[in-house]
Amino acid sequence: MTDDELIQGLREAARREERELGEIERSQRLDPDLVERSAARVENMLRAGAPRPRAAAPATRRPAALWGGLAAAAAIALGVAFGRGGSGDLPGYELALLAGGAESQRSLAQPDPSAIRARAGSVLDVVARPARRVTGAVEARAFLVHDGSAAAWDGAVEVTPEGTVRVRGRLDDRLPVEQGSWALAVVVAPVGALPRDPQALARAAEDGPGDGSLRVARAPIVAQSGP
Amino acid sequence: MTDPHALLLEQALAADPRGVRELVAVLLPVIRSRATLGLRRRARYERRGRDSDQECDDLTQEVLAALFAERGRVLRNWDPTRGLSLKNYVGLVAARQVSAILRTGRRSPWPDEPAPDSQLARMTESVAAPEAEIGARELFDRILERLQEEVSPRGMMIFRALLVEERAIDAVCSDFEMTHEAAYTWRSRLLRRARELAEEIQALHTPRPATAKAEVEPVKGALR
Repeated sequence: MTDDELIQGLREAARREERELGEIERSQRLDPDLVERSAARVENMLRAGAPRPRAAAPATRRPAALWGGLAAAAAIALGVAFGRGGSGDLPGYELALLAGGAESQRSLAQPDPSAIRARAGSVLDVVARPARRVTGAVEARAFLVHDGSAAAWDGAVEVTPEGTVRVRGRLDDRLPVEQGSWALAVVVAPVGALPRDPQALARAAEDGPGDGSLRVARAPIVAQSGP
Repeated sequence: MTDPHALLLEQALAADPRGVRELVAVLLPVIRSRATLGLRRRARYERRGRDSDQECDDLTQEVLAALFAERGRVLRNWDPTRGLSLKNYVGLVAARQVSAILRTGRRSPWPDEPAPDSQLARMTESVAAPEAEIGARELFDRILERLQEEVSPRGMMIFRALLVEERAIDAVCSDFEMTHEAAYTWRSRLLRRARELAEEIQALHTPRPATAKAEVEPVKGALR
């Protein structure tokens, strides 16, 4: 290949890219909600001075009593919670809201942009990402924790070979009706290491890992009333 | 001339809520376009259907987070006096990030897909005729992506001015405030790296003798 052929090929590639990019820009319609959510996240990052969300400071704004034993586990920023660190083979997990939540989720004026704000029947799409690639296959379950008591959430769970967990589903209709604290918890463990006993599994979601082999990523849910 | 977004960037990096919101509204379409392009290309390379909007949103958010990480370090590096608008700068940074994320597998949007090589091999068995032409285009697309990944935004603008737009060397030197010697050095360095990348990419997709039947043909005009 001569220099001229190389240059010609690159020139055509650059022009193809420009054309395709132009088509994409003309056809894309940006969701205003996405702008709002992104802006809130960026603002939070800038205020916290955090290099990346997963390295953010612990969430000291939330009263420890409200979340019981979770104070050490969760560092929450705009729907992002950080998995419990500590010993064990699994890295910490961050929980991020990909889609869903109530309209006020995107409000810049809200006092705490970190919680998931949801209404009865809200559809949520969340992802729990490990701080680093996991070395073996993992499995996961999702829970709704109400006043410290966990119940399985029937969201669809997908797990990648890298250990990333995605959960999508509709929230419980009891959410705005029953007072108290709510949280979404995703329990992750190596395949076969999740407790088989549903109650033991729920306890893990409520209290966090007892043996260092489980990871629980969670974020508070603030129930919104109205349509 | 002052970039219209310079002041906005300043306000946003000071964590002014309105500034952040306006800047994100300006940058998000740029980043998302790059993410869409990157994902479409990857889908083409791997001969499969297009990605979901969700994958694109995830990738967009990753790039956005990288731009604002460490109190916006990458954005603070932008210098409006060096020939790049903020949107162009962010577009090039986003292209680099997207390409790196998708190529290195730091994040795998399609974890269940078979390895690209096996897909290419299967495709070649059933679609033999247009492979050479598609291969040549793909080769140059991949080289361009890799250059964007490795070369600074300013370097890519110089690449575009010198090699794509074929602008006069005097005009390029004036716009980028550099000497003729520096411009020729850039040209030579970019071409050398492009040639190396072409060889590297071709080597990855060149059939091994033992399994030649099911492999991809070398692209037309192979490097020598």
